[in-house]
Amino acid sequence: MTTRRLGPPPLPLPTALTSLVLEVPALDMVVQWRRCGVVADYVAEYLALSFEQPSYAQSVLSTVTNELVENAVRFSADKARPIRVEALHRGEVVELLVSNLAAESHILGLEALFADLARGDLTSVFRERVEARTRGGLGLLILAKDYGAVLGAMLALEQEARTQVTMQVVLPTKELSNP
Amino acid sequence: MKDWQIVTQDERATAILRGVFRLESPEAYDAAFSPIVAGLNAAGDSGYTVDITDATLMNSSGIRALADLVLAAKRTQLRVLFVAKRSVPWQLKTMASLQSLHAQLQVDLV
Repeated sequence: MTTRRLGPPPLPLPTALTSLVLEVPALDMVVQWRRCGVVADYVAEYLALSFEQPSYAQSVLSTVTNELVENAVRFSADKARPIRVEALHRGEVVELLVSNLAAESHILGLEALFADLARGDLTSVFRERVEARTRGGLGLLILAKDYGAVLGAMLALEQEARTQVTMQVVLPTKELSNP
Repeated sequence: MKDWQIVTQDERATAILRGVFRLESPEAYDAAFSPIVAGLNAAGDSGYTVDITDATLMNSSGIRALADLVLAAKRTQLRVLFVAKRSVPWQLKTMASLQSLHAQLQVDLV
């Protein structure tokens, strides 16, 4: 199996203090889109209890998790295959890992997004993508631009030009309290 | 069952968004926001107000839809005011993003 990574090299992360793993068939969420939000809210409520401002933390964690889950469902190439969500509180960061099977067209979109993220001026990237009405990727861009998240994507090529995508979001816990 | 609501008040040139906005696609937002677009198109010189203070969560398709409203207002030089809560993370962050699209956008953070 061929594997590669988009985004910056993985950072060494502290040991997990709290963690949660969920697997849900993408089809369940295609049938009832609100289930994406239900999964996001559950993960957020579970982790938010670790923080001093749980209500604020829950709002941010739900927003971030929901973007990842919605993307995984929307771009899932096999709706029967589970979406895997792993959430870990690791000291000064929260790590979210969300996996799905994707078609080649989605990988091309991710490559373009990571090239834009590498440019650094994310406000300009946001403006350009909105004005050009670029489809896809806006949610991930917002996580990096507005929430200081570091994004990575692990790609594992499987058969029939399909790729297992694991999106990694490393979110600083300082984003989980109201300044 | 919807967990969001949009109330438009033509006489006050105002739209009020309430609830959780996690619609599944940009097309779904086009339909949901069509009364706001109609209000923008009918607004006079006094402009139009979009109150999102009671919108607790919004996904990125919704933020794109808000951005489209801002770009439409910019094209027609319509004065638009967004009312948002400083204490709601997505609202505070999104207002900065929308202002990056249109420097004359008015934002009232409450």
